[in-house]
Amino acid sequence: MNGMKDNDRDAQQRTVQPSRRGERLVALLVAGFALLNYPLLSVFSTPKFVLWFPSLYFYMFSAWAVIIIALAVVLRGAKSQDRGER
Amino acid sequence: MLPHWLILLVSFGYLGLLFAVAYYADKRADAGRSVISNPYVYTFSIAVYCTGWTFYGSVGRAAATGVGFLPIYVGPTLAAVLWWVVLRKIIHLSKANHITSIADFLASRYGKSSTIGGLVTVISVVGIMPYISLQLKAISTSFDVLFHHKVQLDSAVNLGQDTALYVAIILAVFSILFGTRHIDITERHEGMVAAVAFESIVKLVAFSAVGIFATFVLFDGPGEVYGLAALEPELARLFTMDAVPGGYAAWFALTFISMSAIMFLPRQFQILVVENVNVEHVRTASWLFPLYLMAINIFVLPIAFAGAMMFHPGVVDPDMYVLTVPLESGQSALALFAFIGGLSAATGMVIVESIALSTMLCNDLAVPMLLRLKLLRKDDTGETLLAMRRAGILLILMLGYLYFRFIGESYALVTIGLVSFCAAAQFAPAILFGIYWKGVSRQGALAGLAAGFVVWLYTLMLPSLARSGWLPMTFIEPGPFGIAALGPYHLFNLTAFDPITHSVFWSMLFNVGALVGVSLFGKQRALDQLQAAMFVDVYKRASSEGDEGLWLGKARVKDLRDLVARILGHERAERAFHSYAQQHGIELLDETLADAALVAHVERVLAGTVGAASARVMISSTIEGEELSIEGLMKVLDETSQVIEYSRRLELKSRELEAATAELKRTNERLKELDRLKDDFVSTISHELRTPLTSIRAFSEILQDDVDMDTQQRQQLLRIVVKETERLTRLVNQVLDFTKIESGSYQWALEDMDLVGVINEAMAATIQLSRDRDISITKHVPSQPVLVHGEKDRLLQVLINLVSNALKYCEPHEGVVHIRLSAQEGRARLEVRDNGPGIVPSERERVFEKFHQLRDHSKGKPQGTGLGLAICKTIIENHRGRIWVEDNEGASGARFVVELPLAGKA
Repeated sequence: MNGMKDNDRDAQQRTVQPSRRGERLVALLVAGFALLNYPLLSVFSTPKFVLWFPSLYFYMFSAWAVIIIALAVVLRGAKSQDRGER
Repeated sequence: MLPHWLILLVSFGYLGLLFAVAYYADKRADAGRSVISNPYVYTFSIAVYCTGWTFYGSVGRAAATGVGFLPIYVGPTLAAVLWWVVLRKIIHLSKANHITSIADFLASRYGKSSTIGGLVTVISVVGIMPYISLQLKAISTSFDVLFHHKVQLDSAVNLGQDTALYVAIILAVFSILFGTRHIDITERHEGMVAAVAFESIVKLVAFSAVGIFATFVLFDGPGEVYGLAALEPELARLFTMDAVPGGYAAWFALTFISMSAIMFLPRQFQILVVENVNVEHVRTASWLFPLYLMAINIFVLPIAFAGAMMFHPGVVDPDMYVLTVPLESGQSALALFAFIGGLSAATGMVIVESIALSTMLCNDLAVPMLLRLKLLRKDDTGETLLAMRRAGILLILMLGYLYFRFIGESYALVTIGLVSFCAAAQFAPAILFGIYWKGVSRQGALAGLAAGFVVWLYTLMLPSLARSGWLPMTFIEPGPFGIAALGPYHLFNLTAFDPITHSVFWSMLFNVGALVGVSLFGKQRALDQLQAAMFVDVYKRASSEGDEGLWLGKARVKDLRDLVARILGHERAERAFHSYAQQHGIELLDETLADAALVAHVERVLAGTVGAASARVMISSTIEGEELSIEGLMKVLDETSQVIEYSRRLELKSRELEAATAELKRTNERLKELDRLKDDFVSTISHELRTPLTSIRAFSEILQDDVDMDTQQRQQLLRIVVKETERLTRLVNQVLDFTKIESGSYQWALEDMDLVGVINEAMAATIQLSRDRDISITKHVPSQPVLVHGEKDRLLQVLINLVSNALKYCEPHEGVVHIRLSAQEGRARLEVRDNGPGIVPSERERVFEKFHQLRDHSKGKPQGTGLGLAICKTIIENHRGRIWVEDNEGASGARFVVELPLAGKA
């Protein structure tokens, strides 16, 4: 009995408010745009190499992977009953 | 060198395999055990986004521009970040409104307008034409390369044309078999989804196989590939952003239109939204799909460099490196596998896209037009719909082929595809604004779509015609009629962008500008506002039965049943009605009128097949009556209106309360007055009783005490005592009479009697009083008897009362009292006139009230109880007569009139 109560409390603490999740997603989107557009791209757009790869290629794919991982993390525990956002 | 028969065998074999997968999935779906109901199948089916463009074109573009191929995949990744918010809302809306295509969605949102549905369909067909031709080109070129082992570019163009035609026909047949075997209420195609998911896996594996081969077999890993490439300046320049044509602006523009393409290309909308089984799947797809994209793109650059280093520049088509690299390295089997992968990618796209487009052509263009032209009247319309769909698929593929034949040859694959992306981007404002802002009106959406489409046509489609020789090149440079500012590649002299970016900029500017501008400055119809609220506020609504109150018309259940049977067949119609009846626990009798809820339900069911706009038209034509009820509108409009409604009701209530309070106040006043009158009465009675009693007692005492009084004096005193006793008796009798008569317990002894006699007796009774006051009483009576049905004593009492009053209120010596009796029209009329002060008109009603005393202050305290006239009135009314006061025709004085029905005439 007690164990179950603990689990519930944990679940409650871990659950993210739907509107919060929406905000995080928007933030991730903005971050994605920033990472993969002009200013930051130009920083890596050089003929130098990073670990066998031209720096631009390396950066681009890495940033891409980071965004995907971040997305998976933010969406953890999201339920379709959530109606917090518009 | 691959034997021809092997190539053909494997190709058709693979297509057969795809078909088998689809068939199996459909069978499982019919049995209720769907294979596609899991997030992984959903994710892989979305990968239909990667077509022959991805498979072949990316490598070609990478070989020319380095990372210039990537924005097409970065865009969808970024879009996927917001899928959980945006896509979920779109899916929710589509399920709730039984939406079957993107044209349906837009039509539904904007007031179920078939105009919008038609326009979106036209934009889609025209816009996707290049994309389909791209696939045809990819398949036919790759087939030619493999078939003829023609690695080099030369005039294999002619053969290519024939191949493309055959490919188009074969694909058309396949699409028809995949998607038009029957009409489904939900427009879902489980088989198609399963097949597409399967082929997404195949193309990923095939591409990766070639990639691994190129990177780790031909070379020693990516280090060597790039290391060697770095040594060649033409290849080394591909390492930076400088190689991307159009620079960062183009990068951004391409990312942007890819974001809209991943959702709003008709096939993407079909897979993402219409075919979605469970909204939960979006969660997995949001990150898994970008992962897929990354996986399939990770080898693009190595293959491109491998190919570039393997072949001399310009000799081999870079678009075909994926094939030619293994082919030239002797790996025929791998090349065949790669070809199947490419075939897979292109076929998937064509099948889904042509099914999606033909659904739109049928539901949103053909059906509304046919309904309007009243050509849709046959018995089993379901068959007609299927035939239209099949014709649509054929038409689309032919258009794709024509575009390829006459225009697409001279372009790289990716360039062709981007033209289509730009077209699909025109839907983004109408959809995204539409689901978040109620203010977007139908006219606004129409204006935006039209403006964007026109600009797109002008800046991308027409120039491609010029490039292929159908228009003079001077159309592009310097511009039409020589006007540089109108040049399709530099409108209004904007030269900063490459053609695609340029087109994106202007089309979006005009699109959004028109959408917002027209919406803000126009008005919306009731239905538009309704749909807007329903879409934007979809999460705030408890149930999806929102528009129940909309239908005010009359339709019999039978009519609706026939309508549904025409479209879906009798069986499905029966099922739909039966389940509805069961759900609501009612019976649906044919001849009864359908209520609004049933009509709304039928509309939804039909929308699942023919689209929302057509369903509305069909229902409207079946129902006679208005579409919209005020109650329905009020129900759904935003809270402001509801608040206004509540406050109006409150106002009404408070006004009612005020009226009630005023009423209560009046009643209270009256009660107080009556109370006062009662007090007056009680005090008067006491006084009236006491006065004679005092006299009687006094005189009696005197008589008792004075034994020696003489007889004459004694007689006089006794006379007074008797008189006072009589007075007392009269008073008590009056009160008793009043009580009895008022309570209704008086026993009337009615008989026929002559009023003339009553008059004589009354005059006799009052003669003393008249002599005392020296007032003469005259009478005027008919010579005949006047018979009434009444109680003689009571009527006498009334007459005596009236005459006494008249005598009391006349001036002594000068007063005249006149009694007049007449009979006319079945009624007897008795008047008592005097020439006293009379009664003012305002008091004439009130004199008959209980306890009412005539306030004539010159006469001191009122005499009597104030009950006399009230008793008269009650007596006369019990005789079914009337008593009232009249004017004395100019002369002063009161005239009391009594009217009684003549005996025998009552």
